[in-house]
Amino acid sequence: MISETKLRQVIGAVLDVEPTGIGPGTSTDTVPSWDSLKHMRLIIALEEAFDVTIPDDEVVTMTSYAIIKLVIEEQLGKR
Amino acid sequence: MSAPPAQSPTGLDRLATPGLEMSEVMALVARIERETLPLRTIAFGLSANVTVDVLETYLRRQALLDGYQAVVHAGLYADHLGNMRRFREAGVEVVVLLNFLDNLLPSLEARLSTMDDAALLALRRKLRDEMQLVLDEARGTNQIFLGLLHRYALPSAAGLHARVDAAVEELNQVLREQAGAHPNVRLLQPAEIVSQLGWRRAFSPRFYYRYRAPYTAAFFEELALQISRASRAAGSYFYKALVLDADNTLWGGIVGEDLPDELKLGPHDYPGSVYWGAQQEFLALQKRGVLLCLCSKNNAAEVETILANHPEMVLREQHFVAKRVNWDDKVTNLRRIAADLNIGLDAMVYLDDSAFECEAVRGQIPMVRTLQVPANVYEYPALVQHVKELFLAGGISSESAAKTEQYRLRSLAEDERKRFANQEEYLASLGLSVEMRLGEQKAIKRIAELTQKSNQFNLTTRRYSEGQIRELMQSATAEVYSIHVSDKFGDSGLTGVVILRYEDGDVVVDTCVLSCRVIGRGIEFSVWAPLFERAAARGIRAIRAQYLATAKNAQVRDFYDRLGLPLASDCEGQRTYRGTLSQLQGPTVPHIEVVHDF
Repeated sequence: MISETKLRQVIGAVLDVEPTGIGPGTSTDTVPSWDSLKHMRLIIALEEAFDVTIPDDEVVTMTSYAIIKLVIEEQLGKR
Repeated sequence: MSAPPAQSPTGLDRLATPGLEMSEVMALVARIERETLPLRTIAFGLSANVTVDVLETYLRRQALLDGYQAVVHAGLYADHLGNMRRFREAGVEVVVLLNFLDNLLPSLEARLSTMDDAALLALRRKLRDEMQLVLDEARGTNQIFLGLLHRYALPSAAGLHARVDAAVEELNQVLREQAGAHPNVRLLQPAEIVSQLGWRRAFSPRFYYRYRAPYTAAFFEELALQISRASRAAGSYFYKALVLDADNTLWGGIVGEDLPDELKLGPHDYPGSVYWGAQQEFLALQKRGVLLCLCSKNNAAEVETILANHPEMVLREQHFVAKRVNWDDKVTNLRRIAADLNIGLDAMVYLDDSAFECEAVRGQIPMVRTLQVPANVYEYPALVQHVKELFLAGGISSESAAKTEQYRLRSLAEDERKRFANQEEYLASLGLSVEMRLGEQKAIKRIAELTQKSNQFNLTTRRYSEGQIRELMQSATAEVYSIHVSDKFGDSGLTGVVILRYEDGDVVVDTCVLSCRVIGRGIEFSVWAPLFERAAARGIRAIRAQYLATAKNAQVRDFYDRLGLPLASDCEGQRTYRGTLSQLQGPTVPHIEVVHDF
């Protein structure tokens, strides 16, 4: 399991929203600032923060908190 | 974030740590900007033919470290000319203009080795013409940083890429000439950062190919440093006074403890030679108008004696406009000097070898730019270079600054006309051609994709699946137009979609989408004349259109106004238009050839 506090912090910092407001319901549909540019930053930030390399085909699928959590845990589990 | 949270109340020292994780930098920057007192702001504009969005964060970071706040305006992708116009309207003071070689034309680097001389010449001309227009448009801007071009491919053994390297050099020559002709332009050398960091740390192939974002955060951290350091000296930010400590700053040793002839100062022997050289640099600054001041905890008489009598002193009594040599604290003395000279504390650079004094000054009067003389004497010359850059880095002499002013004051009317003619000529030289196709079955996938992905130039942001596009094409009351754009340099492909519906005897623009790759060349206006004509021929009397605001499409808010459609209503981010076709003419765009299959 990854630290969800850290996950919220990273997502919050990149999308410029309060970490406390981030949760399972957070997705590209609910955060207006989450555009393709911010998405790219988010991938970079997540990789740095969790020390994982997100596979290229997952980059475009990670459009919600739930999927991001799933993908990162999957990558961490592979080690 | 794996790093511990910021320790100091401001977080500035944490922010200064090189190579922090980007999310921490973003969080710190946002917090510091929110919590610190209002700082002086400088407005930056970023314009590039690749995605350089992350530079925004690092410019803001560097600004805070350098004592101001950067407000960054991101330009539209690859629309330099339009960006310069928008930056001017937004009051941008410093423009960063970057061209990524490989993306000047698709996969340009791979093509350079096989391009014949005529094609290379055409490429240079295109770059020259475009840069000239862009820089002319931005000549009222305080400062423009123009990035030189560099390779993206890994360097290989010498000679293998000689032809490509020569072509890049020739293109850079074009940029240098343009920089020379525009006094507010300073060149950036991204290639230096790439070699400093190494290819792997500077570039991100994944994001280059997926998002057209070739550079890493590490690269932008360095680039922001280059830009920030140079931009303040260039007129956005003026330091006026250099305040110098005496012991271990002007000379090695301590006046109260060492005998005068024991002080380390002189042209030949280390470490005295370092201090002697530093004094030469300070003297050169003084000659260029920098106010030199002395601020030292010492007995005034002893320092006076050295200034007057030490045989190796370069700086003498007459070079200092203000002296505070006493036993009061440095903060008080710096305030007095500022008052004496009637300048702001933020116009002063202060140099001292004592960590204690530097901390005290930074803590109590952070507006003063405080620099500590390194404990290792051999590192001092590098700091002196940095001090010089703070005052002179813009590379703008008073003469060229005056020239900039002349540019600004020059009568506009004549010039604007001339420039407009130039722009038309430039656009005409591109050989732009637009091909419109109605109901293009084999492009259904790409059409759906454009409606799904485009955010900026998208009037209604309606997302359609392939199935829905197919249905619309089959419908008797709807039409799907695909827009193909090409110019003499190549084919941009299917880069626009217009979907029309016929309702209640009117034609309704359901969707109008254009890829950001082709915005800013008049294409968005060129497609309407054939559409209006066709609708009129079908007996349609009126056209209706809508702009639906989203977080991302503000740039097309007034698109239909500019197209000449009468506004019918405007409320809550929804603007509707209705115009009688017999009274409307689609604009003609002389430099674009429009052909269609309907």
